[in-house]
Amino acid sequence: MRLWMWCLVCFVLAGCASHYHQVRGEALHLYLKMPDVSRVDFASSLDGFKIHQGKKTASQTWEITVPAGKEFRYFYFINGKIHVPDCRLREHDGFGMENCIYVPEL
Amino acid sequence: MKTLTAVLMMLVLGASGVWADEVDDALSNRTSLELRNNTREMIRLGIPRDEAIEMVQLMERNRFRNRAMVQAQNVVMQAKREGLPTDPVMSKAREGLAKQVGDQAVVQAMEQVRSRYSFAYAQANKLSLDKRQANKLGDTIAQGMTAGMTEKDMEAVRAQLQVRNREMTRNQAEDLSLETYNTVRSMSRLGVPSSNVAEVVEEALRNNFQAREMKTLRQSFMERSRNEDPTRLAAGYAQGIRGGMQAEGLGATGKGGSAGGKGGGSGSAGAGGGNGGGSGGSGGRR
Repeated sequence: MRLWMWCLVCFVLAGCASHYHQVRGEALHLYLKMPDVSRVDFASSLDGFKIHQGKKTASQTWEITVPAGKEFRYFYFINGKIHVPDCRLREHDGFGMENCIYVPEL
Repeated sequence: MKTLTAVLMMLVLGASGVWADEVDDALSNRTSLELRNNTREMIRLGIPRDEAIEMVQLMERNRFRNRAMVQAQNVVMQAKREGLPTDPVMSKAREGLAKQVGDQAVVQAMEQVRSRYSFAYAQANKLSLDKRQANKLGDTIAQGMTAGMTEKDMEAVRAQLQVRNREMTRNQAEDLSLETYNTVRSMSRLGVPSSNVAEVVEEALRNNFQAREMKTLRQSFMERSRNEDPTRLAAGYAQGIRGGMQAEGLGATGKGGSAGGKGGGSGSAGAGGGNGGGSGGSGGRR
């Protein structure tokens, strides 16, 4: 019974998570739930912070795909404004803000 | 005679810069002579040509003032001359350009990165004789500082490591140093304040944790911090270790750390949540 309830809680939380990722093959898919915005862009240290437009998927979620397997720092732009989502690992960016850090092993 | 004249003319023209080189070809007519010469010097020092040129082009595109561009180049060259990695400095420049923070803010941030790596590499060189290991250690230390570790606390960790290193072989000492700073970096990235991180790690070192145990400490901390506030957890770890708890014992739920839940409801529930957050705040943030 407890296990069943635990699974249910996890399932619900997964649906509520605003920022999460999945690795599929050699690609890392980052998801950001951001309703009522017209544009989400992404920048990371993987490619010198070039700006990449997010792809809107169903249920007001935006998806970014990058190569998997490397550590990097990143942030988003929401309608042109810098946005650092709720992420587990962070660092100071030296500009008064923070970056998220993705670490493959975690 | 004709040949000699031709050779002399070529030497004179070449020295006077009449003939455009790859730098001149790549940069616009508006680019100052100082910037061009700095770009050539960067390439001469070993900065990849394309990167040196691209840096100027990006700064010009973002309307940097000439003085700021020269300063930015000087920071990169200074890093190179000190034997520090230039990628972090140049990456910071690109990040600042992407964030459109303004030229002086970019230069300041670049200098901060250079200074941080200078300190980090100096710390690493005090611990390791092997250049490759020292560089790896230096990078890890710098990343820990980027996450929030202070120089003072890093010095204290280094001092404690040096005490331990005296009793070890070189390989053991290098392994322990690396695992220690990996742990420092990971905890700091989770938002644990610098002094708390240093306290945990110093207690572990004082209680003779070896490299393997330091790694176990880090892994258990990373796991438990998914559901517990990292700062409270760190305080619990320090207390547990001080009380004689071994690394394996720290991983058990409710031992060596706070049994309370995390504030803000963040977590890693769901697919691939290890790096992402939960639905609420992230609890334990600086």
